[in-house]
Amino acid sequence: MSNFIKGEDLILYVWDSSIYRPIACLTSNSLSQTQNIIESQTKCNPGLVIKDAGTSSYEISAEGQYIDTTSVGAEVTKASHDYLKTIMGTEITWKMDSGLADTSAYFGTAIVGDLSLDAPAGDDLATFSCTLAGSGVIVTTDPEA
Amino acid sequence: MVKNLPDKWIRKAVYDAINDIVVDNETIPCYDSRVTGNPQEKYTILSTQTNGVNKSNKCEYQWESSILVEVIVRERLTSNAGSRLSADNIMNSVKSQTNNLNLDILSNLEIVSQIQSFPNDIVEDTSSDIVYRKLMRIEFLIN
Repeated sequence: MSNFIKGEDLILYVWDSSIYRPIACLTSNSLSQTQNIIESQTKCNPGLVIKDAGTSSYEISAEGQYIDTTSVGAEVTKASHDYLKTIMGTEITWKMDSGLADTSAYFGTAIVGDLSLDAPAGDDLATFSCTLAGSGVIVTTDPEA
Repeated sequence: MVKNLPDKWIRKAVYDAINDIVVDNETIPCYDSRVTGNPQEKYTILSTQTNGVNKSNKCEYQWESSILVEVIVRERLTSNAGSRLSADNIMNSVKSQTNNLNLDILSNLEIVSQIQSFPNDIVEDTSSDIVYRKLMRIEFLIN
């Protein structure tokens, strides 16, 4: 039987110099990796396109509901829009963890490049979205350990 | 993980808010689901409740719940030719009293948001009475 991993188990965290704070409350998060391909055609191999790996990059995006992380009694160990705003433009360490005991989390460094807050009228909740521009490689050992 | 079923806590919050409200110098009692014995001429009923689990965020599951509140006004045909004014006034008071509900702290549940809506009225005629039934549905998002 296949052991599926539920999307809700994959949580994105950001390092705040002492702990990894879960971004909250996430409604979705994704990790997108891109590998550029270098194509070349030479007279040594007429009629063929030769491909080599070029640069690679990645990007993490997240959307969530804006929660209070600063008031007395609030969830102060979580990171919502207010915390992400303070780290925008700086390089931070992130972790994406599935919570599985025998599966390593992903780690890396990134810069919060895009951050937006949506505050509709009425009874809809305030939401935010952010994009972390990855810097370097994704690793499976905790650089902050 | 889904928390406790909120039904009884929602009923308690609504009941505490609207039981024995005074409208046009009349005290309007509130009952749970039905009235036994000799019914009052004017009263409110806590009617149908629904619940669904909302898994849209990764912090915790939430409840999407609703309750239907009925305002019932029974008038003698001989004394009322069709005015719904009394029912309107009671519903207006019920609406105001339930604008901003909170669940009992013992429930370990918290109302994140609530929406009031007003489905179609129901009017029943009998040989001697006319019964006006005004409805209000309150939908909750509960943590």
